[in-house]
Amino acid sequence: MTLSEVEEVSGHIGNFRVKVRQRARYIDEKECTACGKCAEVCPVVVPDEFQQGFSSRKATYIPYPQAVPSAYLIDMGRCLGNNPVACDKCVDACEKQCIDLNMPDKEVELNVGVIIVATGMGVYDPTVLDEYGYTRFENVITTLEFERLINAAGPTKGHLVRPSDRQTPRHVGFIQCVGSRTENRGNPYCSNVCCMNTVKDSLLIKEHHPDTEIYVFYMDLRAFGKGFEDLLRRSKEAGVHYIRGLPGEVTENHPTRDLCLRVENTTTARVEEYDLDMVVLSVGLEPTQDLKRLASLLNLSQTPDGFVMESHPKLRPVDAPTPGIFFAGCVESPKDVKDSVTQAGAAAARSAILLNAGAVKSQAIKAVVDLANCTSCGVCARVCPYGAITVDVKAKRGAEVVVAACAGCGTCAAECHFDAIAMQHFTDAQILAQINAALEEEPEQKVLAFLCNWCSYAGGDLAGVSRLKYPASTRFIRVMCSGRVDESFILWAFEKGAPVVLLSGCHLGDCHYINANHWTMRRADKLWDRLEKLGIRPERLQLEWISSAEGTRFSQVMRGLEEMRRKVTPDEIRHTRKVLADYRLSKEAEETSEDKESEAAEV
Amino acid sequence: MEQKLKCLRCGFEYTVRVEPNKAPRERVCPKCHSNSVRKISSK
Repeated sequence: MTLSEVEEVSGHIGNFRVKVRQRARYIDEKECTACGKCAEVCPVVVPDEFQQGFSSRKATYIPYPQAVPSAYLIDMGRCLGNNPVACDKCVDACEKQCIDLNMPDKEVELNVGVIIVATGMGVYDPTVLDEYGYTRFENVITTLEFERLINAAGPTKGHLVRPSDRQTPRHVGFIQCVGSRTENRGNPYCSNVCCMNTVKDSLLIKEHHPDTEIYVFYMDLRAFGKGFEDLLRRSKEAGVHYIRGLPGEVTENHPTRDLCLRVENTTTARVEEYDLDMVVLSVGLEPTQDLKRLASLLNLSQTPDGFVMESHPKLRPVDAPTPGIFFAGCVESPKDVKDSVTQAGAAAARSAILLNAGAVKSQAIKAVVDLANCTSCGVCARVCPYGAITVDVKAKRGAEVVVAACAGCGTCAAECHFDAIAMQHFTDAQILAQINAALEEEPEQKVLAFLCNWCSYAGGDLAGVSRLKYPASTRFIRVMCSGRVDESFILWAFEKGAPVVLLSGCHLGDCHYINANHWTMRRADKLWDRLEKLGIRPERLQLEWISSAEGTRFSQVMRGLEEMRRKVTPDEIRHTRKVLADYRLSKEAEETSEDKESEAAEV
Repeated sequence: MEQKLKCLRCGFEYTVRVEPNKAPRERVCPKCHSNSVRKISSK
C-alpha cells in the first residue's frame, strides 16, 4: 500500500489490528498507463523533491522513475484546486478517464499476525553548521544532492556539474562527519555509511573525470566491511587526497563562486588552505521525524539517539521487545544496504517462523489477576509497558491480562495497591520467603540486593566468572525485572533487620521490558521520601543500574555497600525494625477498618 | 527547569537541567558515579 499511514495499532502478537489511512492518488492506479499526458498539460511547476530541487516536476507526477505502482498521482497541495475545479486540464487530457479529483482517502483495517517496521532514516540538516556555508554558497552541496548530480537518471544525466555555473568542477572537497560524532551540533554516534559513500563517490568522479583533484577531509576513516579496505586503497591509488582534519571554515570568492577551505591538517600540524570548485558535505543519518509517533503506536522503546531499541543486541537483533514486532534497516540504527538487506531477511524469517507455527507460546512467567481484589483502578494498565492489560475503569470491570502480550516484567504486580495481581513463579509469597530466608540469621551482617535477571544478575555472574571479589555478606534475590520489586518487599527487608538494601536493574533505555525500570526509579524516589518521613535514613536504600557487561562495576558497588553496612549501628537497626513494625500494623488496621466500612455499606 | 539532586552514596549535592516532557534520564552522581541520586524538593 503506497501513500499510506498507520493511524492506530491494537492487539498483540498473532492478532494485531492496524488502521491505515491510504491517501487519495486522484488517479486510478489500476487504469493509469503512465502515458504522461496529464503531466504534459499540468501548468503547475514545483521543485522535484526526489532530484533534491535540481529539477522540477508537475503537480501531476510520478515520484521517481522506479516508483511502484508505475502510475501518476496528483499532489493536491500544489494542484490549482478541485473545489471548485480551477484547471481541469489533466482530466481533459487523460484518454482513459482515470482521473478523479474528488477521490477520497481510504481507511483500511488490517488484521495481521506480525509487524515489520522498516521506515528507513532521515538525513542530518547541515543548515545549522554555518561555517560550511551550506545556506550561503551555491557550490556547497550535501552527499544526497551530489548523488543526484552523478546519477545517470539525475537532472544532469550523470554529468557532474557544479550548481552555480554548470561547469565541471576540477577541484572537489568532501567534508566527513557532518552532523555525526559530535556532542554539540549534531549527533554523537557514527552514521556508519558516510566514509564508504565518500570513497565510492570519489571513485565515481575519477571514473568520469580522471583529472579532477579530490580532497577528503576526515577525522577517522572507517572502512570495516568486506571489500571496503580494498575500495579505499583503490581510491587512494586513483589519486584521491585524504587529509586528516575537519575544516573550520569555507569561504567564497564572489565573482568566480570558487570556494576556499581552511583546515588544520592534524598529521602535519599546520593550517592549510585549499581552493575548491565544489564542496560536498557528507551528512550523517538520523531517525525519521515521525518515528516517535510510530514508537508510541507500537509500544517500542527508543535509544537516546532516537532509533528504536532491539530486544537483545546479539541474540535478538531484529526483534522488538514487544512480541510479534520486528525491525529491518535504518529504523534500528544507521546501516548500509547490505546490512539492511541482511536484517530484512532475518526479520522476514523470524516472522515466517511465527506465522507458520500457527500458535504462540505464552511466557510461563505472566501476570494473573485476582478479580476478587481488583478495584478496576486502572493503575496496572497504565504501567504495563506492553499494553497487555485492559481495564474498563468506568464500567468497573476488573483487569484482564492478554496472555500472549504479557512479557512477565511484574511492574503491574508491584504497582497494584490491592494485591490483585500475582506474577507466576515470582509471587509475593515466594519473594517474601526468600527475604525471610536471607535475613534469618544475623540480618545485621547482610546486604540484601534485588537484582533484575537480564542485567544486574548477569553482571554479578560476569563478576563471578571474572574472579572479581565482592563481600560475602551480600544476599541476592533475583527478579525478572527491577520493576517487580514491590515497596513492601523493601520495607519488609528493613523490618527483618537488613542494614542496607540494594535495588538494581538495567540502565535506563536498556530495559529488557521496554521501560519498566522507569517505574523502578519512581518507586525508589517514593520510598526515599517515605523512609525519611519514618525517620529512617534514605541512604540505606540504594539504587544502581548495572548492565550484564559491568562485572567490575558490580563488584565495586557491592564493596561500597559493604562499607555502608558497617556504618549502620545495631541501635539504628532496632529503631528501624520498631518503626516499620508499627507502620505495618497501623496500615493493616487501616485496611481492616476500611474493609469493615465497605462491608457495612454493601449490607 | 532546574532540579536539585543529592547523591545518597557520597552526599554530593548538585543541580541539573531537566526537560519535563522528555523521558526520564539516568541520574548519575558526577562525583562517585552512583545512581542512588535523590531529587530534593525546593520546599
